[in-house]
Amino acid sequence: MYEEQMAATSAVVDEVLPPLDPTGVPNLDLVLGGGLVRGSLMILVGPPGCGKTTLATQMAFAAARTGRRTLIFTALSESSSKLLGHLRVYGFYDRKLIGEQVKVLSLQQFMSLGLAGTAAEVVAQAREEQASLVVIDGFSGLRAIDPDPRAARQFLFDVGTTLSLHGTTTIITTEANVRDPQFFPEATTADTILGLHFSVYDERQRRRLEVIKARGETPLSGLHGLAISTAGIVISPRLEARVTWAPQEQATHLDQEQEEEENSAGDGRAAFDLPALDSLVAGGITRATTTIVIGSGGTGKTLLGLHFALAGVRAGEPVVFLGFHENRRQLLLKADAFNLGAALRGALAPGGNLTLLHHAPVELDPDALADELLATLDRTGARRLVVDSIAVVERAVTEVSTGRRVQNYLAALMAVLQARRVTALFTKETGPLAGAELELETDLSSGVAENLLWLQGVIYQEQYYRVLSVLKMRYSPHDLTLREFTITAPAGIEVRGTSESELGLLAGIARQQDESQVGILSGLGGGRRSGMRPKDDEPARSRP
Amino acid sequence: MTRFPDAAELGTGDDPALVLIVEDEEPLAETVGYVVRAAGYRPLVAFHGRQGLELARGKRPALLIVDLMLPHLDGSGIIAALRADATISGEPPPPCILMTAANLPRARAAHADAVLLKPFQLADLETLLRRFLGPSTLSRGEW
Repeated sequence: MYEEQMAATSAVVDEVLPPLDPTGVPNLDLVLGGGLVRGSLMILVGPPGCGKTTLATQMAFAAARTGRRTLIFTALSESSSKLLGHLRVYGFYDRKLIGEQVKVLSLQQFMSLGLAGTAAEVVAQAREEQASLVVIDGFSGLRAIDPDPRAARQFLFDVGTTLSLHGTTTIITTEANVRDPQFFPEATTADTILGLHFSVYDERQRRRLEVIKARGETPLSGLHGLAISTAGIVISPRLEARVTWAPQEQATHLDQEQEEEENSAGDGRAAFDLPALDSLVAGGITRATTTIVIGSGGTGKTLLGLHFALAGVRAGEPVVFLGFHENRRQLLLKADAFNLGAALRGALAPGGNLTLLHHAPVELDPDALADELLATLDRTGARRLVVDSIAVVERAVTEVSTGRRVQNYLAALMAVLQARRVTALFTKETGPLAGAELELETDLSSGVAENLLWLQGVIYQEQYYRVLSVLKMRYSPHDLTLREFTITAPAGIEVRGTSESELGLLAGIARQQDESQVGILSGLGGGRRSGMRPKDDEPARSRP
Repeated sequence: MTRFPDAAELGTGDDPALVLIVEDEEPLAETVGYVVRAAGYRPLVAFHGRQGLELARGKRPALLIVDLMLPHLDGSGIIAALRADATISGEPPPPCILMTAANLPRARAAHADAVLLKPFQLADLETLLRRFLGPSTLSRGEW
């Protein structure tokens, strides 16, 4: 009985909830928890230049494009002619809408009426025009009419409440510090408050957006990236907030049968198509996990990433390759040297299943990067991802935030990849040669990732060798032995069996490293003996 | 009851032709008024559409310069009302220059005699003033 009553109540509540309108600002609906509540009062607060007017007018044009009538009132911040002139540079601006769906009016003439009179004029205009969205740009200019905060609060209440009764959404921009204590008493009547931050550090400017308040919605918490481009404003949701607040970004749970099928040895796993390496990892990488390929420069990390990507393409899987050091041309040059050029060209051709994203490793915004990556993965339905290298991403995070954010960011990145069942391979640079201190226990990405492959360049008895080892593989049996591998043109990477390596090489390297790097694996949850190297008197073994 | 600001008559001469400017943006209205006065005509400014129509009917200006987007009654509404008046009275309506940031088809739909697309140069306004009112500062008479 009680449940029936509750179900009936829920149905009624669902019906009376005001509809959500799309804001027309990329990702703002996601950040707000759905969109703009129709009939609500939204205040955009921030310092000059943070993007308040652009954001408000972008929402107005988005509404107008759907046939809704919008009114934009300018106060003292900018004349309506100048406002329209400035908006012309943006992709959302549409001159055809001006004068019909979008009307821009000046409030200046009404300001002599005081705040109450001005509010009455705004309401009267909105009713005459049957506007469904009203923007008042530059409320701080209106506040100058009457310095009494109660008058400002009354204005917002009169406008917000009256227009709300008509189903008209109101957006007001005001210039103030986001945390200005004088602002908040005035803004109590607002349903939604968006704070826009604009800061300068080093030589960079950075804009961010924060949902300070959103009645009736479940917004994403924290500071989100805000970029102003010729298209208009684009919001990049804080990656960690996507995971903690959006259920769809949390890992999906396969039933046991699906999991076993996906990860069954052989075809179910994500192979490199390098038989000797695949044999070390039970036929391939466990699906929906992240592998870090760690190694010094020149050990073959990017090439191994290419092998992994092209193996995915050969298996018919959509693959995304996010690179920072090599652009398309440079990547093709590298592939050409190792007989991979034709395969890479084919994969990059339209319909070829490989999508290349390239950014120069300069002033990257980690949230914008994550947003682009996730959008590309969703668009292509990617099953594999290569990031070359994750160190660039880590640097991007620490440049715009504190170092404390890195681990959360990486964990969130891996969570959203896992939610999409993407098998990821990240490369990461370490010191120049094996024998140097490798601080894995403090290396955040290595700690968070499920799997760790270590490529080393070692000098043994005055010869340079490359060796690889599987340091950890969280959900899978794997072979712990060191393996020598070669990179030769045009053969590419060839991983040798233990018997093919020079007599004593692997045992000698293991002994050498035991002597110089005691405890390097202590932070990986396995301890040294259960970690990367068998003792030289121990045979190679597998660990479940 | 809502009270509207009084229209501002910016000129004082007796003879020059009267030019009614209807523009809600005060700085622009004042600038256009200045150009009109400098050209030798008499500017009269209204800040919203309803007030503009009342003044057009009462003061019978020789020329109207109206904004398209106006509070209470937009520029196309003023033009349509004055044309309707003319149909009844049999007297021609005053010529009208429309100022607008809207696109040209939308501006043309208002049936103005000339259109100034914002942002415009003041020299273009002066050219139109001369075209409709002649080069001299003498009044062409009020309609």
